[in-house]
Amino acid sequence: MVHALEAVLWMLRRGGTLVDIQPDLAFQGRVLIGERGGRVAVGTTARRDSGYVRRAHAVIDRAVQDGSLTLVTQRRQRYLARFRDLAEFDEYLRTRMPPTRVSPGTRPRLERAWRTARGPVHLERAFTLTVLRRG
Amino acid sequence: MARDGGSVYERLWGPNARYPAPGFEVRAIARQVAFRGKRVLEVGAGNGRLTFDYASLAHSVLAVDPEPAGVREGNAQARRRGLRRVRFRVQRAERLRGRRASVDLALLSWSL
Repeated sequence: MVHALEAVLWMLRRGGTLVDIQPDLAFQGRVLIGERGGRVAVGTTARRDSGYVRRAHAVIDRAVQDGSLTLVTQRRQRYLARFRDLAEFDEYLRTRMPPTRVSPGTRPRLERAWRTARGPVHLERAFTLTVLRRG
Repeated sequence: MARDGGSVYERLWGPNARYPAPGFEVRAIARQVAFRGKRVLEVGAGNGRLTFDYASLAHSVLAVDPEPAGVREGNAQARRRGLRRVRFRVQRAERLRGRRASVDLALLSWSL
C-alpha cells in the first residue's frame, strides 16, 4: 500500500489532485423491504472492520503528516444497493470484503417482512470520498 | 418499523443496482474536482466502470488494474467509443512506472 501510494505520488505533479474512494465501514446502513410502492426498514447492518481499509487510511494519514499531501475535503456518500430477493441479498453480504453482517434481530424481521411483501431488498451503503492536494 | 419513501433513491438508482448508480461516483468527484483537460491516472479501474463517465472530458487517461479481463474490456470499449487518449494497462499500483509529474489527477478507485 505504501509503495502503491509512493508510485502514484511519483507520477502526480506538485499541486495535482489525488482522489481516494474507500468503503465507509463505520456507516450502519438500513436494510429495507420494498412494499406497496414504498420501503419499510427492518434493521441495520453491523459495523464492519477491515485491517485493509484501516491501513489504507493510515497510509494517506501519514502522507498528510509528512507534507506529501494536503487534505482538501472528505465526504461520506450514501447509495442504495438493491436485490431481487433474499438469496441475492445473502450472496452480496457474503461476498463483500470484509463480509457484511446484519445487526441482531434484523434477520428474523427481514425474513418475516419478506415472506409477506416478497418485494426487493434494499441496503444502504456508503463510501468515503477524500480529496487531497500534492504538496 | 420506520417507513421510508426513498424517492431520491428511486430517481438516482437503477432498478437492480448493487453498486452506486452509473455516474454516481464520478458526479460526486466532479463536485470537488474538474476533470476537463486533466491528465488522469486511475488506479483500480477494472473495466472502466468509472473511467468512461469522465474520459471524454479529460486530456488523457491511463487506467490501470491487475485483472487482465477488465483491462481487455476497457481497451475494447475505449476503441469502440473512439477515445484515443484512454489506455487501459494491466498493472499493480505498486509496480507503476511512469514519467515523473506526468499526471494532474490521480484517482484511487476502491484500490489503495
